[in-house]
This record gives sequence, structure tokens and C-alpha cells, in this order.
Amino acid sequence: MTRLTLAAIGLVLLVASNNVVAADVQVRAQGPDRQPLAGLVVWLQPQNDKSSVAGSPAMPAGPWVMDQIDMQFDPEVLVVPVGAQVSFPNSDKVAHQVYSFSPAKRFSLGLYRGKRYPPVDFSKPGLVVLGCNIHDAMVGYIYVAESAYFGKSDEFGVLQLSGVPAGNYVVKAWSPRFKGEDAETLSLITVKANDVQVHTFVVSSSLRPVQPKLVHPKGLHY
Amino acid sequence: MNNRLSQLSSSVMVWALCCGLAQAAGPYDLTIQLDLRLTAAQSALHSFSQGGLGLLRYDQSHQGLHAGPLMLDYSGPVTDTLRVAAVAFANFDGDKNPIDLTEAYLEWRPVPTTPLRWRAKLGAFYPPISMENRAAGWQSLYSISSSAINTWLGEEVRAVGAEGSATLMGAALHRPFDIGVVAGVYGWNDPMGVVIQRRGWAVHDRQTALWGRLPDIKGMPRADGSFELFSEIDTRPGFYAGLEGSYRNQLVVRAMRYDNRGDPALCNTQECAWLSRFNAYGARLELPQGWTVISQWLDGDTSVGKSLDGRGSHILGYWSDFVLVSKTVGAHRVTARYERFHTKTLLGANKFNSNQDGAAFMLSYRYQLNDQWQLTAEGLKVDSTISQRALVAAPLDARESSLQLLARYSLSL
Repeated sequence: MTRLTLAAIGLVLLVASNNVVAADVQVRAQGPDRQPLAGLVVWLQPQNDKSSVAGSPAMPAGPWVMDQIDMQFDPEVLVVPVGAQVSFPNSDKVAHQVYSFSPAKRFSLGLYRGKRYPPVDFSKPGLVVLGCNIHDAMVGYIYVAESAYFGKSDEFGVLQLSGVPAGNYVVKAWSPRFKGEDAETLSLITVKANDVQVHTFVVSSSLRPVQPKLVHPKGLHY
Repeated sequence: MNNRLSQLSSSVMVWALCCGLAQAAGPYDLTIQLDLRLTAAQSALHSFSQGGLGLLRYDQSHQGLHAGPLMLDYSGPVTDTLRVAAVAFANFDGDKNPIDLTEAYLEWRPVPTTPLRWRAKLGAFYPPISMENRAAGWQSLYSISSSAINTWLGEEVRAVGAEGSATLMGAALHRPFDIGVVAGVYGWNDPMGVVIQRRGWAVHDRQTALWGRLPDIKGMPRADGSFELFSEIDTRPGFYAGLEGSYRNQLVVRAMRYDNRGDPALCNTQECAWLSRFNAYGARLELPQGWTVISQWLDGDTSVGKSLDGRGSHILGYWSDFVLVSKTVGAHRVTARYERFHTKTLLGANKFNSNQDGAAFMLSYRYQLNDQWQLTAEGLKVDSTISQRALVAAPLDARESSLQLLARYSLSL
């Protein structure tokens, strides 16, 4: 057999072995009122082995982008894994100055438009609250998750996590509707090889009302 | 401002300095805007802008198509935390300088390192009162004219001095509201009060430039040609202090005490110092589906002339309020505004009796064609009774109305 054939077989075995151990986990998030909860940040934190987090092949590669559109951060909430490099393009015509003084990441990008700065490294887990030093009404959030398996629930409260390796996980959650930055531990789950799991989690943290989607007024200057 | 400063060159120099400083430091925002207006007016009176006691910007003798004003709004960084901002207007209406500044200031915004955010301004600027003047050049975001309250701020009120503010930012504390305090110390606004006493409230969009003038009422006793509003006469600084709260960017409320601490006993060769004080309140509510509701209320008095108690020999009380409702859908915006305004001579009516009662209704449609062109149609109806119209042999009661079609070209650099 040629080296190429051996490599091909190896690759097939590798993919097959991944398929053997990986599982799909569907999260269904509900609020305290048992209604589907949209926009909930959920991540599966490995209970013991953290090798699947930063630097591991499983870590999603991104790109991670927090844009600025119509004087708002877009998306309002971005979930990234520890070690993610997040870029902050400014798609507005006016200049912005992005900053954060959250313990998880303190930084400031001097006044800019377009794509002036290289991506910013987020190496500590936790919540990073973003602001613009020129436009105080702009507020955004980056949640740095200690996990390679994370996401936000959709409008039906559903989040699909694929390729989760077998193991024990702490399921954690956070939402900008929480009345603090502390994440809520939803449950402990055990993921088995080739599982397809569906979990319904009820958030017990009290929630602020949903922020209505406001129209950005055209021509707003001050 | 004194005569030595009242030169076009001063404006240009300040402008050039601002732009030069800022261009060196990074990206700047510059808006150049030119209006093309088609105006029809119905009024038996000459406009205040022509020295009349009419409350509209354009009277019947100034109808038709006209270009202007031209506006430049600039802001840019000097350092990472220091910005310079300047706004200039060319009104093409025979003002003292063909183009002049309405605002020019340095603003310091240190990058917050705690939930308490600090800001400071130094220069000439509007105190934070208006809830509707949110577009470039302190123009109304919603219509051509501003409410009577904000029209008056644009005519007579400017802080030339320093302002500081501190805001507790709720987002960083995971609270849904911000709370802030603001205070200013300023000079060069001693004649403030003379326009509202001699003419009363008006409804328009003309802002008095820092070295600009407003015409006095022709034919009125002691008319001296024009008002020069941004002068320092008594070397006594004025102050303002206010509170601002906001809830989830949906509701903003403000309250302010404003006192120019003018010494009503003093005059210079052109103007007298007026002691002008008022309380201003405002609220703006942003609702889903593009609805905005704004209300403001301003209540105060102004006085002039020597008196034993230093309070002034002539005192005028004034108040106004308005409600504005606006709805935006895509590039379209429809706005309605209703307002009431009132002045009353409280002391010295035997020498000059100035009283005004009025109400105005405005309906506007605005269409943002693209980034450069904005089209607006505004109907304005102003009913007013002004006692001093008798002094110029005009009927006391006036029903004035105007229709303006505006094509506004904006170039943002």
C-alpha cells in the first residue's frame, strides 16, 4: 500500500472513531413561566476533562465577529469559546470607540471606522460587557464560554449541539435578561457515544422583560 | 461676544483649528448639508427674521423657492479621549457673518473603567435640554421646525463655558437604567431673555450663531436694530444643574434648573444683562414598531432694569409645553406636534407690557430617499395673541400658517 492509501484509511478510521464517540444534544430552554426562552446562552462545560476546550481540535474556529450596525452591537450577544479571537468591524458611517472594563476582558479600541484593528483575544471565561465611548446607548455582550459546545437558543428556545464527545458535562446558561452576570447551572448530563439526547431545562433565575426591538432612527446624530 | 471677536475670520480660524487638530488624530465625522426649500406662508405679519412680530421663519414676502441654510457639522478626535466638535450655519438671510458657528467645543470622554462614566465639555454648546434636536447641527430629527421651547433655546440660549457630567451606567451593573447628573458654568449669555420679552415664543428652525444677530422688532419703542445675544456684561457666571435617567434605552427623562445669574442693573453699549431662570423637564419614550413620543415643559422668568432689591424693574414670566408623536416605517417618518406657549409681564407693565398666548400644531412627513437626500413636507399652524403687536399697529391676534417642502442634501465624510 502506498503512503497515500494508508493516510486515507487512517483518515476514515479517525472520522469513524469520532462518529462513534460523538453525540447530538438538543437543548430546549424554558423560562420560569415554562415558556420557550429565546436568546439563552447555553454551554456544556466538561465536568473533569477540559482538554476539549481551548486549543483542542474540537474548539470551533470562528471567525468571531461583533459588528456595529446602526449604532448597535450586532449581534447584541455573542458566545465564543475561551481563547477566541473576536474582530470588531464598524459598519456604521460614524466612528465608534469600543471598550470594556469587565474583569473577563479589559480593552479599548481607539476611535475608528471600518476594520482598523486586529481581532481581540478573549482568553478568560466569563461575561464581557461592551460599550461605545462615543454612544453611551450602545451595549453589547460577549460571553466567553469554557467549552467547545455552546450556542444561543433560537426563537423557539431550541439549541442544537452536534458532535459532543461522550462524557459528563455541566450545563450552564446566561442571558442578558438575567439580573446579574452569574451563570445558572441548569443540570449535569452524561453524554454517551452515538447518543441523540433531548433535554428540557427550566431556567430558575428571574428574568427582566424582553427588550423590545426598537427602530434605529435615520439621521440620529446625538 | 465682543466686536473684536465678531469677525468672520474668527469663525473660520476656530473651524480650521478644530479640523486641523482632529485630522491629525484619526477618523472624523463631517456632515455638509444644503437645503432647498419651497415655502408658502399665510400671515398678516412680517416674520421675526425681518423684524416683525410674526412667529414663522418665512413670511408672505419671502415665499417661493430658496436655497439654504448651509450647515457643517464636524467632530473628530484630538486624542483618544478628547474630541473637538463644531457646527456652522450659513443662513443666507443677511446675518452679520455669512457663515458662523452655532457650537464649538472640546469634549473629554475618558474611557470608563468603572460603571461611573465622566464627561466634560469646554467651549460653546447647548445645555442638554432638547429631546427633539438630535440630528446633525442640533436640528430636529422629526421635522423642519423645532418646538417653541427648542426654537427659543436655538435663538437665545447657549452655554459658553464648561460642563461636567457623571452617569452611573446600568448595563455594567446589570441594571436596566442609567442615572446621571450634569452641571454647567458659563458666561456670555447675559442678554438671554430679551427676545422672549420683546417678541415672545416662536416656532422655526433658525439658530442664532455665536457672533450672529436676531433683528429687533421694527417700530417698537427702544428698538435698537438687532439683538446680540452672546455677550458677557456683568462678569457673573451662570449655572445649570440637571438630572437624567433612562430605562432600557426606551425612556429618557430629564430635569434641569437653569440660571444665567445676570445682573439686571447692568448694560453695555448694546445690550442689557437679563436675569433669566427656568426649570426644564423632558421625556422621550421609544416604543416598538417605530413609535416615539416626546414631551417637554419649560417654565421660568426673566428680568431687567435697576431695582432696589436687585431683582429687576421689569419681570416677565414664561412657560411652554408640547407633545410630539412620531412614527417611522422604513425610510418614512410622520410626526405631529402640538404645543402651547405663554408669556406674562409680572412687573413693570406700565412701562412695557408684553404678553403672549398661543398654540401651534405641526404635521410633517419626512422621507429619507438615500444617504444623501432627505425630503420633508411640513405644515405648521400658529395661533397667537401678542399684546405688544399694538405697539406696531398690528392686530393682536394672528393666525399664521406655512407649508414647507424641503429637499436636504447631506454629504457625510
